[in-house]
Amino acid sequence: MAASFRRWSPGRRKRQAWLTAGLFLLPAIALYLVFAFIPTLEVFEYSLNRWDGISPDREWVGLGNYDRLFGDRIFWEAFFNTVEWTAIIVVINVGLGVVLAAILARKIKGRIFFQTCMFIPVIQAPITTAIIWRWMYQPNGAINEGLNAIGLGFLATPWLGDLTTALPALAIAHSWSTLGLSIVIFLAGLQAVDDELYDAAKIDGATPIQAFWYITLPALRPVTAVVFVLTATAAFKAFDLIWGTTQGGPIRATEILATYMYKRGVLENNYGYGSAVAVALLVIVTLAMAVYLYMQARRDD
Amino acid sequence: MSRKPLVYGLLTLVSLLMLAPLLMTAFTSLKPAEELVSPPWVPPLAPTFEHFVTTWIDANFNTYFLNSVIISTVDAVVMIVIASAAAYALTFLKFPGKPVIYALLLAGLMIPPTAIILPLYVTEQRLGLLNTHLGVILADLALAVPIFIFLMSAYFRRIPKELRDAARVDGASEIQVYWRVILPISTPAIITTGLLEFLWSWNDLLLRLLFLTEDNLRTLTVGMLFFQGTQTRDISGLTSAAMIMAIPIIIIFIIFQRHFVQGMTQGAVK
Amino acid sequence: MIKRQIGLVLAATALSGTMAISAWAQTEIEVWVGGEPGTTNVYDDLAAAYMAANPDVQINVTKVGSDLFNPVLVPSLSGGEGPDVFMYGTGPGQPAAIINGGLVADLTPYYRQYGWDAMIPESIENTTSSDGRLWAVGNEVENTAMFYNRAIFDELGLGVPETWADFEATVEALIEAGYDTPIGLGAADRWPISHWQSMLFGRFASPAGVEEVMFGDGAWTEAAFVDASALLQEMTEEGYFGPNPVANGYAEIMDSFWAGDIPMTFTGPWIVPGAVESLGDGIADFGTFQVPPMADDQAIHPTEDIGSGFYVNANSEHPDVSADILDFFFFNDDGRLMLLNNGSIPIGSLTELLPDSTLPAITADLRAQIDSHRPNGTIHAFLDTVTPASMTNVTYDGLQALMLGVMTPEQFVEAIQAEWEVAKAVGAILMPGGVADN
Repeated sequence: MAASFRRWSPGRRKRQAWLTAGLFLLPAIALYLVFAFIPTLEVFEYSLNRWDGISPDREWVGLGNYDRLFGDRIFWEAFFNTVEWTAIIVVINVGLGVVLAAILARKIKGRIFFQTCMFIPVIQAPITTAIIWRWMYQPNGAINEGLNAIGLGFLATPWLGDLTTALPALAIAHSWSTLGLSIVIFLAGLQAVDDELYDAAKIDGATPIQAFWYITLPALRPVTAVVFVLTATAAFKAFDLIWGTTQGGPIRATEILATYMYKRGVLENNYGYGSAVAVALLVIVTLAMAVYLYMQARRDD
Repeated sequence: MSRKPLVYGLLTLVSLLMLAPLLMTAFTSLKPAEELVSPPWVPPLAPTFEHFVTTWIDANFNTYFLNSVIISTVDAVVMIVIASAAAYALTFLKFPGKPVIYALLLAGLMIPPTAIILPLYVTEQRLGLLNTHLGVILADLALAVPIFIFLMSAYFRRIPKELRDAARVDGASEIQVYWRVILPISTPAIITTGLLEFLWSWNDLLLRLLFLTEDNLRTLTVGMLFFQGTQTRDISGLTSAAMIMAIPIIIIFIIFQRHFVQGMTQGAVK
Repeated sequence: MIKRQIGLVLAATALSGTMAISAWAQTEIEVWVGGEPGTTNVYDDLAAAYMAANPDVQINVTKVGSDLFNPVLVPSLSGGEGPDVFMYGTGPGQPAAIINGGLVADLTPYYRQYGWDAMIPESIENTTSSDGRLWAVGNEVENTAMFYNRAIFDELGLGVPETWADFEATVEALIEAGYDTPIGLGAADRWPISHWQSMLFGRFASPAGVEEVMFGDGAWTEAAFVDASALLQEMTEEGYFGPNPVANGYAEIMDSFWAGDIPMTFTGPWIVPGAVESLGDGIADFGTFQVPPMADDQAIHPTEDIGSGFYVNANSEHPDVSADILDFFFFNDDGRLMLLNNGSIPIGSLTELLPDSTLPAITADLRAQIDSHRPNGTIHAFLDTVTPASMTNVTYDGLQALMLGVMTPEQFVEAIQAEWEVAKAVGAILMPGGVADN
């Protein structure tokens, strides 16, 4: 790559290339730097201080907050909860998302109706989503009443009041409210798949499942990366649903890094430490995404 | 053929699960005060639109609605332009430092807005953007642009390079290629970007609450917050507000969703 | 009506005496309020009344969502902007950062000038002051009590329990009658458990015992607090709060309570205005009582706290007008009556106001009960809002752990004491309360 590049660009053309690319990139990158990246660097700076977010003086503590972070039992608890939470959401949104998108992309009756239904949860404001899932998961809520009604009452359980079921239950709720996004992105990706491929496969006697496996999935690889990254980062940042239902409880069963950061940094006016949690979150996820995208790119080559 | 019932069974089950909560919200929003103690899945016996009237007029949702429409529309349109332009450069142009740009954007996917509210507030303050819609729009765009650049790039990567090269050979400038060749065949990606950015902008609360403290500038999500206290909530206000927020998006989705299937048979990308 | 106009004239006179503003100048005062839905509208009315009497002042009332008040207020205050007057949590724990950071104005001069000292009860003064200076004005008093369904009690022939044994018998009778949740408790929302904790801690330790920890050398690990925590755990185990209290949300529990599915719940009058709206006259089926003493050596101490306080921004250009507005809102009879009729109880004596008020009977009744037990001394209703936020989070986690039976009472009090000591060490607790005499 580097070698071919050198051959291609003598000095003047290099400047030219920069200029053209710069023109295309400038609006996005300038906005991003001013309103997202530089503020983030400032958060990194906060994380090197003991600071309540209010008083004019900050106390420089170097890496002290990070040192404390590594020994913080609750931070690690929240970290592993976050991993479990994200894993459940990614599996549902990518797995179920691709299957449903593949079905909806075919010419089936009532497609528009089904497609709209899948998308409806996405449009709910976060406050509404939290209220809805409180209705669903209450001990006498919609799910338990529904289970009782169809004779599966033995499966009824206090979903959000149980230390083992609370996190998966909320992860499913989060997936519910974001699955439509995955489907839409997969559907957009499927537009690029040539119908003739399916016709040819049909003539060759391939079953729909084989066609899905050998045509749809490989064609969706780049879009899958987008859905994966989008779903995983959204899950890592998720806050409103948990805050509106359990606030991280019972005890700390649904405490994820985003809620922990909010409690420490904002509610407890411990901005320095809260910022350290934020930076740790940022670094962990960025690294994870980078590794994933790198592997994805290598597979594509 | 025996698979058909299975497929429809799955679709119906998922659709039901997806739809039920909206129905509960709708039921509750139509219940008169004395029916509110009945479970949310029980339909209203004497449906009333009074909560919608109260929310729309007394709770100022007419103003909030207009503000939300302005901010979200600008967000969506500008996002389409800046994200597709950046993705065009990253996909089709050769220039040094590309990996740096990628790395920079990758970090941006993960910035949690709650973590940066303090420095972001100071930035907006210095630029005189507090209590302006522009301030909210710029921050919205900045925080979401990385994901849309990735989304657009993923789509552009499927467009054959020869298409662009041929146009260049014919003497078109990069901007002409981008505008006349690439964008017109990227409708699904454009629609997806516009729809998602509109939606996220529509539903965002934190930045709006933070930067817009003048009531006549505020948006629907902020208005909705006033129905939710720490101890009590006004469920009629909340659900009617939720319906007011949901209906326009459902309509937009229904209008635009044909684009998700149209490209298939047209085969613009081959 | 006439009385009200006199009040306005008086307020106007008081104002013209304290300010030197030329008649044409409009002084703009930004006021930020948070709170429960519906309760904040009264500030629009209060502001309008004030402006009617003071045409040279323009008050802009901005509502800020209560749950997100902190993240919105802190950046604007530390950015040197923000409102002139704002609502915020009170002490000793909550406002330490904004007071230590010099972001709020000292209200002590106004306290003397307007004679607020004659109206603010000592317990409230303690939580709104430190270093002998007053920082905030409490806007409303809140209490907690047992709310019960009279119809259910009557049907089962149950009376209001007078002793703890009565109370236990009542709960058992209700369980026997098929109410599997005799006392509703929305423990999933965490803070409702702290209402029980606050009441039990106060009852077992007495008001002096709690104050000794808050403002003296006492510790949360003392036997009284262990016993109180043990009782909460025991009540949970015996099903007083139903099979799965930790899964219950507060709003959902309240719906079940008003629907008649749950006979009792321990909460406060902030819930009444909404209930009146949906139940109408049906509210008469519900009453309140004070939980009987849990042991022979205990008395009934009513719970009482201020939900929050109003502060004046240290960077405000008009601190005098801001203080005058606070005086009108919370210490002037017209302002206080407007608050009262909106269902929020202003601080200080209400004897003269109550006859003119339209307070719902259930709330007025509760107020009378509290006043009759007041000589025993009041205890905190919301320990979670007066202790530092770091301790509040540990308390919430611990209370749920107690209820789920995965923590012992001893472990619980040790956990909160440890966090209390940390907060003390970093100066997050303001001491001592009270305004200096001179």
